[in-house]
Amino acid sequence: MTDRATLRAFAARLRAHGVGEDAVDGDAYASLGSGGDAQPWSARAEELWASGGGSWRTHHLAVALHARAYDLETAGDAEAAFPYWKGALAHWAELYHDSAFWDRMHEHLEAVGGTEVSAATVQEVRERLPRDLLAPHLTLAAEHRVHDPLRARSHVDLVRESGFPRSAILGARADLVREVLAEASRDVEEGRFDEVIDLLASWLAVDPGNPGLARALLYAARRHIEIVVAAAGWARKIEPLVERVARLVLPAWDEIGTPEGSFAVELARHEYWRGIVVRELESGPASEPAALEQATLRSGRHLLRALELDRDLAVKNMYRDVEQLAAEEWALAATARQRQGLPDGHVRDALRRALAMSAPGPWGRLFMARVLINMHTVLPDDLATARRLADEVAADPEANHPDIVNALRGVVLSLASARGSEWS
Amino acid sequence: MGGSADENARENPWAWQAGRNPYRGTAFQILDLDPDLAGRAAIKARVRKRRQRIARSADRFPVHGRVLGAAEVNAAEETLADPAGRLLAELLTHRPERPGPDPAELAEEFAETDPPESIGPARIGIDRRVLAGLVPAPAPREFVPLWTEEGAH
Repeated sequence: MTDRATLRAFAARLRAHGVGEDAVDGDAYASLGSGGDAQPWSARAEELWASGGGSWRTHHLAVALHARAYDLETAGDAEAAFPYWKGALAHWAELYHDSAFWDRMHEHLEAVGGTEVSAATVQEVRERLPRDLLAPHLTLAAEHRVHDPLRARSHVDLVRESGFPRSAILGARADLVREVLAEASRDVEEGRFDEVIDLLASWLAVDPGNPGLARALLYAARRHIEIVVAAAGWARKIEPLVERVARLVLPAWDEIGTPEGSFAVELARHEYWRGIVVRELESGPASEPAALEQATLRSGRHLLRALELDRDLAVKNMYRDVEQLAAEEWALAATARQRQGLPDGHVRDALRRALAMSAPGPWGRLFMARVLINMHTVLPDDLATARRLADEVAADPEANHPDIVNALRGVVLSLASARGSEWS
Repeated sequence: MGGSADENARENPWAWQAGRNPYRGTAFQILDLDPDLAGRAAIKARVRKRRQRIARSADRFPVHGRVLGAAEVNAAEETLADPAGRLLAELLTHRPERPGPDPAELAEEFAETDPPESIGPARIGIDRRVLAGLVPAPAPREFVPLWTEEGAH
């Protein structure tokens, strides 16, 4: 038969295993106080609910942690607030996804109201929750952008890692920059390029991968570049801008993966300018083969990437020579490799990219023809291709510059000596 | 930032406003209303009482140090009258938790109580005179012998 001692021992064992869930909830709730000064959080409540609790536990934690985050942020203690923001958002995201929670809330509403509450009403509140909860972080990011960009950035990170649906996160990041994008658009129209580029760069420090900002920056830079390149010394002038913008848009490019639509079109033009700048400042002036190879490979890659990003780039007036330039750079890369005595395989590797261009222009054709003729092992196809290229140059009505004509003559003579009297 | 045009003009209680904590000064706190109080009549009565108190002596019933006005009481009532508004207020409020029984406490309480008095096994007494009366009187009977000395049937 159970005696007092046994029961006391039993009580001790229960205590050792911790109090029951009801007691956690009751104690935690009681620690918040009551009446007009009941607090939304207390250290005791946080401690208790972190380790146990009944079916409303996640909601209790969401409220307590979130309320504390607001207090800490208001007090200016951003570092202390951050983990509370993060924890609160995680719990709210859990609740957002938990249909059982919303069902319990619905039941409660009907029980206290004594009347039916439509499922649509509950659903609407539920659906707005992510956007409502992310909004304060957008406000705080904007507030701290100028004087404390790291603090601003941490609020955007909270948004990105909140655990809410991707569409809500993308929507919040679009909300973040809506006004600045409108402002940027006006700045570009009014020619305030330096200001707008600095403004967009400052916002990109807050949300580095923001696609709207990246696209706006590419657009603003392009409009500026398209004006500057009309004057002498343009390459030196645009080079720093081109490189700065390339670095700034890289995170967005990484996040997107495969660019599409207007982002791809703007990136294509930007890659064109990057290629042109290298060509103008490095491959053009290169005097020895190794330097020429490095420079033409870089410019060639930019120009190829431009074509990959926008197949219709050549249709755009200012960019219509993209294929011609790409062919020249790759043919020069092949030439540089050949001059360094590299094996035919390496040479052909560069050459095929030039050969892939459908509109290589006269210089491109002539460079390609010379490379083909100078292979260590000239294949029959090589000579046939070289001959075709020479014929195309000869037939090109715009290829009447004396330098081109001389170069063509040289190629023709080489072809003649390569095949003897079979070629006329 | 973050304020885009919205068909639904409902305000966002979580919107950042310096110094304001959405979890303090909720409709429930303004009305001093238990979220579990059920029935529209009961809620209305409570709100009426609160309105009177605030009208008469608001400084005796501050909420987080703030003295309330009639407008706030009215606004809080309107919020709770609308299902979406009520749901939002519920989201901002801890579900009331009553202190529940602690099994360990219960066990200790039980340990302190006296066990019930032991009566012992129930006595079963046989009254032979009654029993004798239940037994039928012996009566002369004929019966066929089942077996004889001569052998079985």
